[in-house]
Amino acid sequence: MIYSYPDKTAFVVPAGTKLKKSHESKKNREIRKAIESITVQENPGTYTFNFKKNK
Amino acid sequence: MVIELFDDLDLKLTVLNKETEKFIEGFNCGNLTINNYLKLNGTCFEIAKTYILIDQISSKTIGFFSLCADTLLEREKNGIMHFNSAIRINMFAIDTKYQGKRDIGIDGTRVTFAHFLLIQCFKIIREIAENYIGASYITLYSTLEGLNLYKEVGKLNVVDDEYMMTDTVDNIQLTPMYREIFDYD
Repeated sequence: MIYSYPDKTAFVVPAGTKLKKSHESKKNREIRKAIESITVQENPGTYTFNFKKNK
Repeated sequence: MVIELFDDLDLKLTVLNKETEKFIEGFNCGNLTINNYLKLNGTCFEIAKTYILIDQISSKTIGFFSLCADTLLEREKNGIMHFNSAIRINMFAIDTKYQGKRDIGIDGTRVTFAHFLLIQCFKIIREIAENYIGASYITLYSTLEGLNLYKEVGKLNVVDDEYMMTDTVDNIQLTPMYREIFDYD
């Protein structure tokens, strides 16, 4: 499944647009922090993850 | 907090280059244009830098995203444009075999590979903006299928401008979305 697709159209927004301050749900924040915490940078551009193996 | 990987996978996220392009053999996100781009131009950094999430056991690519430099223009009523630097998520896709699979468990909550990969994507964008080249915004064109992921997990806003309406490219309906890179507290 594709989520983002390339389009050559430039991004234009009205000047002074106030972005809606996005609210991150507590659950999503916990998930994000958890995923970031297991991410290990091996070298520039390469990352591994410290998962607890279930099997 | 316990983070588990349920299936027998060994995940690694890496830049697509001559050494790692063997992993994209057989990748199929369900869209021929994207599949072909990955095979033919995926290593072409002049277009975009591509990162692939691979399973080292099966040597398969689960999903990928590609990043490129972008500009977000602010239009005054008198027509003057001001630019802001941005990083665009040019493409983001998951292989159909892994689509919707929730193999990652976080304290009992299972998340999809798309959710997992998007968080990694944002992390890399923050690192680029902090260490390599300054940028303020994340931009992308979302497919209909991607809208929920980007709104709920990515916290992106739909662009509200008369010149930036929903567009159709290659018969795919696209919605422009953006957010500040350093939006997290």
